[in-house]
Amino acid sequence: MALTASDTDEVHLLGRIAAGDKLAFEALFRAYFPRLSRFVGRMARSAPLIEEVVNDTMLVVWQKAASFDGSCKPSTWIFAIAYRKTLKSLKASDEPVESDAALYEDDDGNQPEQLFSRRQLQHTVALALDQLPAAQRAVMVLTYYHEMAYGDIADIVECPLNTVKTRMFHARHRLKDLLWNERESSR
Amino acid sequence: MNGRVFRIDIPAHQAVQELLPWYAVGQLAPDEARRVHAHLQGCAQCRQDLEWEQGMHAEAAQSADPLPPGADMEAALARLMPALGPQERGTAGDGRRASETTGAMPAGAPARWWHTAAANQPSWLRWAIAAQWVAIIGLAALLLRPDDEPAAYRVLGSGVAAGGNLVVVFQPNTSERELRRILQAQNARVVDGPTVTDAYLINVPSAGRARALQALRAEAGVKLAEPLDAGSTP
Repeated sequence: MALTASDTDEVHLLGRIAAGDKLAFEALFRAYFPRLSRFVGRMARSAPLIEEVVNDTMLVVWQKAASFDGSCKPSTWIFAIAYRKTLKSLKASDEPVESDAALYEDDDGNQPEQLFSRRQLQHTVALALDQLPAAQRAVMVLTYYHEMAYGDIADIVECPLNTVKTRMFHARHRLKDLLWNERESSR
Repeated sequence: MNGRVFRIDIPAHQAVQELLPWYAVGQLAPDEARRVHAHLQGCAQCRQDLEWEQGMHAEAAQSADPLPPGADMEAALARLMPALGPQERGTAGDGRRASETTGAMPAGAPARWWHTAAANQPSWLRWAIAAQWVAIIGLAALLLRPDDEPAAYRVLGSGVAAGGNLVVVFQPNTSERELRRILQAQNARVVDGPTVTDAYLINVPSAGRARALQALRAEAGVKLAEPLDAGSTP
């Protein structure tokens, strides 16, 4: 595991947080809130849920900072907590993943011969991602949106390396099919 | 010879297919990246799939908004800061040492719960052994707990109320089988004992007590047999 300069900074911050330094905690919170809320947002798609899950995650970071043992990157450790909190909140809210699909349907998307605009494509990808099972979606989001190596993802979702690869493989095929269907139906 | 020059190495192709997403985002180890690169030279399908992967990655990079709509960092921070409670003391050092000494995991591998749940993990064993000791001490305390009426202050006469009507002391070399035979012959039951003087308080049917007493005294294994009545001193 090669630590970058920012990883080393974060290890240092975690050390200060473990000693009860609230300023260090605030710095880490500001560094992670955007990344975590994007991750949780892609997983859960509900604004009140996003803040709640991110805050729950960062509270655990505060409480358990002393148990971070440096055996993985700080980001891997923090995302693993966020992943567990997200799954828990999805289970608790029992929210169907496609519940807000309507939010992403553009009226102009149904016009014939419409050019496939970037905005539409984003919505289409978001829609297609939403239809994947949470475990596959997490692997995809962490790869494409957070550019994480599969080894780190395996630590975050707590499964073997090969499982991450096969989940990704199946998710890509599923996503390709879904994107194809979305595009065809919006033509 | 079927005329084809190249044949696809199926396992290698499959392995590269699985790695393509991380090749596209530049997150492969150097040796893996080289392997994928080499395979791409001769595999049109993988090159096409790589394009799709790069498209997905570019798409993700484009749509990376600073924050999802509705998420407010300052508001979230303002809510969280006053709610920060006490912190837990870490056991990180212990877990690290455990994995290094056993060699159960490669150096630097994270000590996750499903690894540490293994039965040969010292960190897990420590807790298991601690729990065992708690159970052992607890059970021992139950066994050793003094009775409501401690034996040291009990006189044999107090057994009368509990149904004892004879006191018997057996010869020291009497076997358990012999002792059992003697008692069963008189239809006797042990009510209490052995006491500090090795006496047993027994109960025989009161109608035949005198006869039982004679019979007991006749036994070679019986050193002493005495009737026990309320108020009498044994």
